[in-house]
Amino acid sequence: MEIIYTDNLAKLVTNATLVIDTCVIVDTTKSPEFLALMRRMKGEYNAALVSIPAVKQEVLSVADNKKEYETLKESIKALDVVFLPSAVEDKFEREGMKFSIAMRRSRYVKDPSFVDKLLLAIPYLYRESVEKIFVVTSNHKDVPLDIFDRVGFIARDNGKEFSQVGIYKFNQEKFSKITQKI
Amino acid sequence: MSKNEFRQEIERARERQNAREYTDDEAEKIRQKAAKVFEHYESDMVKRMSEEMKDRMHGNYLYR
Repeated sequence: MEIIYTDNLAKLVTNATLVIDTCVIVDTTKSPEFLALMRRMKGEYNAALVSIPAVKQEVLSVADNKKEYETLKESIKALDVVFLPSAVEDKFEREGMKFSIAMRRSRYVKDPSFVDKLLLAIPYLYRESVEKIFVVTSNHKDVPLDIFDRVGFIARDNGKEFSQVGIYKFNQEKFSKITQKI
Repeated sequence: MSKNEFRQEIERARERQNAREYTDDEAEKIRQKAAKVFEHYESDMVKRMSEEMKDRMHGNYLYR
């Protein structure tokens, strides 16, 4: 298994908040190297891995018996992802109008699910509370590049599967442009 | 909300989850078990999964 990532990865993730998508959690189960790298982000680089309860539920929805459910639950715990409470949804309710319109106007995504929208809104909602916050996903076509920049990536290749995880940063300038005249 | 407060909010949420540190060995053992769950799932359910759900679970590797 080979893992390749951009040179800036350590600098990017040091003390950063990383918003983790479902596919990234799934990816960590497929590769010991990728799991180790994600765990290093927290242990070595002091990054906080966060997500929303809906993402956790998407992962758990795979289980078709109690044992599988508990296994997946534990694998999420071992990754140490913190699921932010419903406060994120409340905040979106209060402050998310502009972001919602921006997503609708984006020429990159069509009909984003609420999970996608909420996850992507986190860097926007907390932009003044955290210096470095990135969305980490391999679900590239749901990230609007007219609101976000891809600032790094991690690729993993095991000969069978080739996966790329993108690290996306909210871009205030792009956001202001897309939300002009709302 | 200050920068510190956000980090504290994350820490509080982590405590509520009863999080604990896993050793690398423990994490790897759990990963192997979880991988089997996904193998089981993919051998069966993926065929019945919507495109949207496939993206949510496995991402998509679109180049731009």
